[in-house]
Amino acid sequence: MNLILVTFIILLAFTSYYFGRKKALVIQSSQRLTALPKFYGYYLAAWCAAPALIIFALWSVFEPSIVKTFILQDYTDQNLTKNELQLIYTKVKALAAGTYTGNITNFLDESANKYIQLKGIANSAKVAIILAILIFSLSFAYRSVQKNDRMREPVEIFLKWVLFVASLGAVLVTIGIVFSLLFEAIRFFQAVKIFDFIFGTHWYPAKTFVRDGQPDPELMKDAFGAVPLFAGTFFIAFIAMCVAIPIGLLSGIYLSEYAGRGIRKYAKPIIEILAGIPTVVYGFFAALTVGPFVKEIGNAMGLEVSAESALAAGAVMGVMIIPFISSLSDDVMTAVPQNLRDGSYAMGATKSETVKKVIFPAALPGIVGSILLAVSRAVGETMIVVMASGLAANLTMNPLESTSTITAQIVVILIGDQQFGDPKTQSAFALGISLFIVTLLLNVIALSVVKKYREKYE
Amino acid sequence: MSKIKAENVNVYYGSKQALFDVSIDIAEKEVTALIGPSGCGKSTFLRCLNRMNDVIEICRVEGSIKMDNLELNSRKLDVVRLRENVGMVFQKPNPFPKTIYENVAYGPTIHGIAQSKEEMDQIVETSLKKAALWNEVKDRLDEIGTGLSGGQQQRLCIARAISVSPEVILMDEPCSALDPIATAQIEELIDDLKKEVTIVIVTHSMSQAARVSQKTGFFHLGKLIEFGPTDKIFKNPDNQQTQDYITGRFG
Amino acid sequence: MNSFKKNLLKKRYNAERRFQWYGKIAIGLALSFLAVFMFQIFSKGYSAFQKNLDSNRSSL
Repeated sequence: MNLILVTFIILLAFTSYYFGRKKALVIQSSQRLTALPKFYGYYLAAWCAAPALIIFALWSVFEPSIVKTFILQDYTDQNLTKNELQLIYTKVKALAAGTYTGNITNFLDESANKYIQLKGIANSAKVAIILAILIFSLSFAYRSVQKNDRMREPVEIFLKWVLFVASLGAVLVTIGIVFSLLFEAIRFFQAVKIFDFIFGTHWYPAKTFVRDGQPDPELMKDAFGAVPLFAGTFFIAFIAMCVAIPIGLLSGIYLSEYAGRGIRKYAKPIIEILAGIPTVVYGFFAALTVGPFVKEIGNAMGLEVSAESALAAGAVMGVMIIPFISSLSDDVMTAVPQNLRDGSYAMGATKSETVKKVIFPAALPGIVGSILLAVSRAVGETMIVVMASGLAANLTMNPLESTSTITAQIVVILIGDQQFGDPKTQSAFALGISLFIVTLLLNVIALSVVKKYREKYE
Repeated sequence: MSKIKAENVNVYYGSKQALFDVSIDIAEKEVTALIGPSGCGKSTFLRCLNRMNDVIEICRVEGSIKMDNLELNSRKLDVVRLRENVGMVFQKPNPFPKTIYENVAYGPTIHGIAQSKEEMDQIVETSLKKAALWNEVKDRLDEIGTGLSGGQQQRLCIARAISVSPEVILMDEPCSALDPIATAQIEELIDDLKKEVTIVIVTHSMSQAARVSQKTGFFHLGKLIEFGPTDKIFKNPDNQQTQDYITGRFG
Repeated sequence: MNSFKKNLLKKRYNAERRFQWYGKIAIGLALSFLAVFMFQIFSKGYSAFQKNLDSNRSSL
């Protein structure tokens, strides 16, 4: 029913576009048009579709809750809790749809009939109202088309509002995500002290699982210390950057200053393939190839190496990040004005001296920006760590042992069985928001650094 | 005395020829001006004198350019040493995004000219004094060079060029981005500098060429049309084309 | 041209060559990572397909 209604509105809008344009051509024969003929079409189509669709959307949003209030009115005298009322309403709906399998009481049956009746009224009312609005707004718009009013300005104002609503949507979604994270995290921090979370050194949420009743508060205190996770996250990111910064930076320098046009044209996109490989694939590469390789080498040197090591995960992550640094630093160094290079060469500097003493310092803010973006990517990376570095949150600085990161723990917490009110589940949100804050900070710093760099040369 | 002697220089950008058989004798400790309409090849010729055309991949230079009997247009030539002896000042002031001190110390540092901090300070001071910039910047040597005004930046670039005591300085329209006062300062500077160094200046402004130079060469469509003492070129040129250009009939 | 400057010039040209090699090695490493990676994925993937076919055949 809804689908037919929406399709009808849209088809009508298309028709009125053609109709409006045709009307404009008719007007053209007797008087001067106020805008291009297509604006007459847009005007009519917008007046046709927008009011009807807005009313339709509002109706769809409010209808269920209004129907619910009507149904549950009959139960107000029974002193039921909110949850029980919700259960009753679900039963009524299921009964009305014919999918209810439980015990059918008279009361329920009556409610279900009432529900079907209400729905029917609502539907016919909806169709009637929307048709009325269509007729009203179309005739209004048609009259102003006939009067040859200004057409372009209203259409442009309308488009401005459409764009505004679209961008508002994007902003609201972002705010919604942040707030849902925040609320769950606050609930978590009601169970676990924020101090214990930030400074505790033991992460073992499984410990708090109790079959019935509340977990022991003493136990809670020692189970949600995020220090090992933060340490592991930054440790693995550090290893990754140790691989990615030298290789990425030197490749970027070579590409921008030494490589001929031919090499640059091919080498750059080929290196960028590294960033396009799915991280899961990197993950099993790290777990099945690099991990055992590191272990073998370690064993040959007489070192104790676990099969899942921070080194393997970090190194593979570093390889993944190389193109971020090489491409971005290549771009910022190519953007350094040629006359600075000329100035340096004319002083008798060699190419490497020019790079080290003039181009690199001039491009440094941009390069720092690219490195910070790469770090935030490394901090947020999940799959490689889950697959290659293990899931036990060890507090260690030994790259040959396994450690875990914030992202990997979120995965561990949220796969498998969980209960929503459980602090173990909620701890994922606390981790999520702390990760969000870290990467947000890194991004803000990176962007402001890059902005500063732009101001210097433009 | 002749400092640089160019014979039959031809320059090609890809398949396009930019200079045709240019032969010129540049005298020592004089200012030689190269004038001509835009695109006539005067800058291209200037860039041959310190091999800056090497930077452009498709550029090819033929012919012989000798400086004190050293062949400049040779593969065996060490461009680093050449450029230490032949400085260059560009059209647009291009100080490095470093401090004023570092800008001037750049050349002496890479060429290992100063043995100590004191010596370096001395070089920076004399270079800035010679470039008539010392009094304006002596209290802010650790400020960024790009923060100076356009004229000051250009004088900083001149200070940078003379910091390694070159024998020749090439100037590629050094005043085209400057206001008249800054231009006058630079011209005065050129007059002082010619006591010690040979200067070759490319300029758009004929009055500037007349004011600062002793010899003038007129380029047109990649050819050196006429070359001689500035007085003669401006008052009594041999060639009709030169006459037309000087009097503003074309260009 | 004194000997000090001659030595310095030699050093500068060596540094130049060395720096260029660093760049080449970095590019080479990045490309070889990609090559090793592709090789591993495709060789392992290929044999996995082979095995799958064999087991299908034996089960038939």
